[in-house]
Amino acid sequence: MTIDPHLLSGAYALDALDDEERRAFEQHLDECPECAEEVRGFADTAARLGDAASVAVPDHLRAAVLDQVRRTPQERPAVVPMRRRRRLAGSLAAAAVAAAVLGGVTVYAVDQHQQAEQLRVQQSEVSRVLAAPDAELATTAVRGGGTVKVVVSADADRAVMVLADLPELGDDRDYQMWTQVGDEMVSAGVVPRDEQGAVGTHVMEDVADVSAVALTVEPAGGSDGPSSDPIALVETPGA
Amino acid sequence: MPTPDPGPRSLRAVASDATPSPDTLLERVARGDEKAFAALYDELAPAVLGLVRRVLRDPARSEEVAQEVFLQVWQKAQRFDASRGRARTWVLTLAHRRAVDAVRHDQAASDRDRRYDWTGPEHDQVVEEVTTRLEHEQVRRCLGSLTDLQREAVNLAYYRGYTYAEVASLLDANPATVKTRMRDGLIRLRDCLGVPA
Repeated sequence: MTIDPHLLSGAYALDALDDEERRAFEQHLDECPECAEEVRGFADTAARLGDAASVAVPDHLRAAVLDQVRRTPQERPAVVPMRRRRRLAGSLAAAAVAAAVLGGVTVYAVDQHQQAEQLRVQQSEVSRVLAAPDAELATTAVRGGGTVKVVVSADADRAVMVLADLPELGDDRDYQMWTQVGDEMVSAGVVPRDEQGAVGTHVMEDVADVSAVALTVEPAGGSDGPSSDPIALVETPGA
Repeated sequence: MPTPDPGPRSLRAVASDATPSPDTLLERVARGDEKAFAALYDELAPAVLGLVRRVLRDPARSEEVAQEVFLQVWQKAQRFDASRGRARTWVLTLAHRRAVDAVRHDQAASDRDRRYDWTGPEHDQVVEEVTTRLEHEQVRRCLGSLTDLQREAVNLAYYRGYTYAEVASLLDANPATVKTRMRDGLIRLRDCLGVPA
């Protein structure tokens, strides 16, 4: 007997599925916006049940958590989930690409001591893309100031986006990155505010179907879709 | 005590004095702000620890898991997307998932009582420690508005970490029915609590 996957939304939101069913339902969620919307409301509802279980917290737990956090680096992902891979035509020598972008990469602002480790991980990701034989570079000026450089490698199935010297925005607005897949703009994340006026490097995965990378100004915290025209749009090389 | 001023100026003052919302705090945490993390911890630790303890029962193990949850919040804060949901929900969803994984993992090696001895949230020993807030009364009242099967299915899954198949066997009900009751129980609960659909 097959069961309508829609009906699993409640059990999913309560974590009452086994691992296999959970994975299957998460796949279904990608294709079913109504289900995703329903799960969101259920998650808020379940969180109220969690709130209702609140207890007094012992002081030693706070000390232990804060101490551990002080010693632990944060993850720094900028990952765009997408589909098939496709080879990009034409190519620049990796060395030329590296020369063109590396300034930006090395000036990457390290504003917290614990980011040193993330930086190392990210730089190795960046090097991997730059070192790919099929790496290609595109550069554009940003309307309003600053530049965007994009390096794409189909072999590495990754793109590196370097944002430089974007003017600082008021607290009510953020820069947001997008990838264009067909006619759709997919969010690639909000640009952290500390990168405004500085240099930021972002690695994107699964870029085979991406035809362009764009930057917009959005209300603080970002939007589901671009709410204004891009201030920069880079067609990925070979697209 | 200052005299309340009914004008809009007073409203603004109240808003600006308020603790930043978990959403704002989590966005700061994503940028490596340890002070914001401490404030977020203070805001959410009672719910996280309480929820984990509900599921796991063992106080020492619960503290371990709650600590893992907050470490995960710190490490993965960049993945939080305010356009897709609230920070409080994001953290409690992480906490619940982690607690459920832990209880299922520990299950074989522990003395977790797998018998159905659940007597309702008001009789649970942990509830005695619950800080009394209006919201808790509302949750209790809304749980009370569910049918017995809906309520028990939601309670056993959420507060005890059982899968729907286990819930079905505990309640001697059809698994397909239990799944459906979890969903319509949550719909009724959501509407009763006034959570936006």
